[in-house]
Amino acid sequence: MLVLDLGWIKVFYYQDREESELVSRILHLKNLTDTCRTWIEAPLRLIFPDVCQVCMDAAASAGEGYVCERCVGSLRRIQSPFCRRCGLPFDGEISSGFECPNCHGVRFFFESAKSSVVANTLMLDLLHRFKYQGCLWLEPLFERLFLEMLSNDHMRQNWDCVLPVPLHSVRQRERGYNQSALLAEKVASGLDLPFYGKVLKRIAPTPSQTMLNRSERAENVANAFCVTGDKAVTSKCVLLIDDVLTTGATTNACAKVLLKAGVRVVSVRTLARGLGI
Amino acid sequence: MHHPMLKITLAFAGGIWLNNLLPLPIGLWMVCFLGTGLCFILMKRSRPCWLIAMLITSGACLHAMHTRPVHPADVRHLDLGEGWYVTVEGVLTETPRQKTSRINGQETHSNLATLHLTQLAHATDLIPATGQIRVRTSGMLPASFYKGIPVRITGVLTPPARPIAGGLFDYRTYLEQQGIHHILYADSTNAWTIQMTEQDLPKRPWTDQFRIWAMNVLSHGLPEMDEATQLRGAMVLGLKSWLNEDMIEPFRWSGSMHLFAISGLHVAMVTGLLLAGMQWVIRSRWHAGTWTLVAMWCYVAITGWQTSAIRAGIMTSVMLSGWILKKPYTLLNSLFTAAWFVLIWQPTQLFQIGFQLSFGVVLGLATTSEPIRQFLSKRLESDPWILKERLSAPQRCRNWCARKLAAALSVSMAAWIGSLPIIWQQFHLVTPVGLAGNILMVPLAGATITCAMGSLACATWAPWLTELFNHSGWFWMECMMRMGQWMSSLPLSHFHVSPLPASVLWYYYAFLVLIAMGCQKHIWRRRAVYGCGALTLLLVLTHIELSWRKQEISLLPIEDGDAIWMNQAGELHDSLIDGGSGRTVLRTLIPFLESRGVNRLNDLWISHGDADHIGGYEDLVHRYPPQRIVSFKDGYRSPYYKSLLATAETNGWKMELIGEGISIGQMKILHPPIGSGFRRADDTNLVGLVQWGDCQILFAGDLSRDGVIALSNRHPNLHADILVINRPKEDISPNYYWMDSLGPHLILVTGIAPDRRDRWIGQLKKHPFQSNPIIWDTGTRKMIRLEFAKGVVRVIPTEGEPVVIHPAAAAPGRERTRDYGLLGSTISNL
Repeated sequence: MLVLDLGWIKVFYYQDREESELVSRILHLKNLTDTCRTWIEAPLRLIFPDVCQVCMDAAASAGEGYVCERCVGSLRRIQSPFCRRCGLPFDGEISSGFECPNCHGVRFFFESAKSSVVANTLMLDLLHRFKYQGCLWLEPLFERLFLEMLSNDHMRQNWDCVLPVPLHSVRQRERGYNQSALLAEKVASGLDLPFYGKVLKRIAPTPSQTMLNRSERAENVANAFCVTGDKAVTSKCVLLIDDVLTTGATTNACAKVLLKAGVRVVSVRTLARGLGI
Repeated sequence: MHHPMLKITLAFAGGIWLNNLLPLPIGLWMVCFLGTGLCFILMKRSRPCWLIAMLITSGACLHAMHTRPVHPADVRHLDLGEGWYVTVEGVLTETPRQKTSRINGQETHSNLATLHLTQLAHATDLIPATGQIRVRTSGMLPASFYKGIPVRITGVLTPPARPIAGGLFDYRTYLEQQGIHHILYADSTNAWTIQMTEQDLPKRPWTDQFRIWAMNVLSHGLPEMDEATQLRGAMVLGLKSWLNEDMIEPFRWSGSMHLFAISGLHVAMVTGLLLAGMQWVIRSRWHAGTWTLVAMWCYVAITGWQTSAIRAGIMTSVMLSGWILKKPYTLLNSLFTAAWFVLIWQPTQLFQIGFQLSFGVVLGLATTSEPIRQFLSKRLESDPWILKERLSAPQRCRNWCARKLAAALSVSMAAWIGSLPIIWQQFHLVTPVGLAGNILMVPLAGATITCAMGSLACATWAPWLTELFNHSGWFWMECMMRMGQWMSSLPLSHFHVSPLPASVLWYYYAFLVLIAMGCQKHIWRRRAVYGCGALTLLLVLTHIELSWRKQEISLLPIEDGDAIWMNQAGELHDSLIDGGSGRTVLRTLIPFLESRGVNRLNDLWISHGDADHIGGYEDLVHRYPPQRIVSFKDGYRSPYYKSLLATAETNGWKMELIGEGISIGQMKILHPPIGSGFRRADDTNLVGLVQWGDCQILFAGDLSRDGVIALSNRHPNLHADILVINRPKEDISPNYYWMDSLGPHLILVTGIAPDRRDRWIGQLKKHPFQSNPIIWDTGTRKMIRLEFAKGVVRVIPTEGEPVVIHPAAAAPGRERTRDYGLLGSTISNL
């Protein structure tokens, strides 16, 4: 059976005819759907113009997350050297794996944490819009940034499933969505891994971490999470997804309960790495 | 393209404007549209230009189709002259709206309805007719008349009246822009009959049913249907017919009248509440959004499809669709999307005040609110370089308050900036108090709307909660009313202004649109932005300067009596001669003074004490307390005059009692002499002479026979280029003789009732005047304005062509060919 994903529809075609005829029919169908899409999207582009939502100047399509290449270029990608435990980037040339001073004497329950870009002003603004202003059109951009980072990840072959850092149910109701879950779903789809959105649960409505220091953050999220579907993740290597990693307190608390529930390894990957604290 | 809908809408609106300016036949516009369409298809290189041309011609074509009668039986083809007594049959296209007004302390009711004609009977003729007419009926119509009911009405069908003075509301144009060219005046509700049996009647529309139910719910548990409850109904359900002038006056003058138009605030609040509720019930973003959209449009329908509500509905739909489809939207593009849809639906909306205001406000918000917010935030918040973590709790609290205040102020200021020229132009009003006032009024309105929503939501399952919400809503509305009254009473809270030249509006909004397009960021386009801004400023300053220096006299068309407004250079000597009776003061004089930007009355002249001259003084001095009252020293016996003197004494107004020989401002008093002892009030009518350059204007008012004789004896060589008199009296022949002796080139007659106009003016025109003057009356010409500039007097009637009086050229006319020796004794012998 051949499966052709056309974006809008999936075509399942049983190969009981000549291959050339099959390919030509599928291509014809693809052309037809592309034409229909163009006709429908053209008037929509008048109402929702393809303009970069950062510089409001250059063109940027829905596939690009409405952020132009120039603005994406101003995001600082995290490349080595960075801390092998928390992913904090360093300037300069360090050839071997190293640990940053922040990680000395700290017990992390996850195997490693890595982020795609530095949480600079632009990234923080984009994340703020994504989290609090419902700007979900940024999803394709974030998905692209995530998958760029994960394409070279040495742990890629080991992961068995993808989990998001959960939101408390009240806050999720308020916001209407969990931004980490949206990102994790895209990552799972990109890596072709199962996505378990309800395994990890936030049981305490913790206050925002933005005003807290390192130790307060750790204290704030301690005992805030629990695992509900133990069997799904037992003895598995889990990829935990979040939007920003600053001190690692939240992801560490998640990793702790996951390990306790029988998970073999937890890897943390986030979209942005905060350098503030 | 950042805002593609902006260019599309501007081109489309340009087409509508072009058709209004150049009303070509529909066929010709059609040909133009098809031609440009063909060029668009064939000429690939210049397609963008042809697309613009296509949009322009499509706008013009659509507007022509809406405004020109096509059907041969269209009622717009009928020439009704002064009016026909007819019986019409048709279907009500809207439920009649009841209007209550208060005149002389008494409430009067009337109804307005729109009828789609099917037949018209005039005398013995049955004429097939189609099209819409407006029906105005005195009294209260029963509730059995509603939208969709076929009715028969008898009354006088006539074209709507034109404004009697420039600057006043033009009801005829307003209706014509809606495709209504005739109005039927029905004496009473007895003139209405339903043309269908009770069984066959269509059901009352669901929007009407909902409104009736909702109003019952909103008044549930309240002791009476008072003003606050009626205002709540008007604010939430758009029941504007419930509002009367007394209720809305404080809101108008405090710049918060917009709260009673169903607009972005209402639609956004309702949508926000609905979406929040939907998201609790339905998890799916698609379904929650779609159901919210449906409910939001139901709200727009319930409130009567007001233009501002449709605009807000379309903009909210764009935003919600963006949220559902995960696409970003811009305020400006969605604004112009809404404008385009509204103009396609009704191209005539472009010329409607509601449309212009609604879009002006949002344009102001889209362009100026963010820069203002940033500017204010920088000044109100503490040092931005201090890390948040380092700020103390009070500092954080202060910053939070500063941010919220900056946001509220920026929205209020931006909306004010967006609506300023339209309110200036259309309502002749500027409300500085609205800048800060809306910061208080909008949250109060928000609380009122939320309570109303809560009340409606709980009506079926928790009546006690409904009652609680109603009491709460009533309290917030009461707060709004008191706040409005307090703010409108503040000094300089509002002031009236004379209308701006139309070009100011063009430049002003071009300036805003260019800023919205981001032209200020590009070097070359920046010049266009600055150019528009500078031109706007220059035109406004020129207008203010010219208004300050303008010298004009306006004779108002009042059926009996006088009302003459004298605007002299500067504001110190602006004065009003008489004011007319009570009805005319409210309907004509006060709106006229407001339209001329009059904020205070310096001098109120009392020519004499007749009721038709000063009968409406109570309403006048209530709205415009005079700085000084000028009257004849010997006084009058009229009760109105005595009452006015008592009021002046109570309020401490200055009284200037004068007689012959005294000059005040430009007016020199010629009659009556102090202690003259005339018995009739008309004989002691103040007669004054104004000298503008070489031109003499004589105001003789009601002066009758004995007064004329006395004046002629003391001023036998009196000359007037322009003579202003009140309606001629019974003993008119001596006055004619005297008038002839003045050698006027223009005689202006005021205060003639329509039924006597032909007789009096006919007699006057038949008289063989030596100077062969032009004779105009305010009954035919409506308001007549005299302007003095560059040594000549331009006389501009509201209806008809203006004339120019050249005093120097008129000088030879002063040589009298007839001997008027011993004028006084001659007149007394006549």
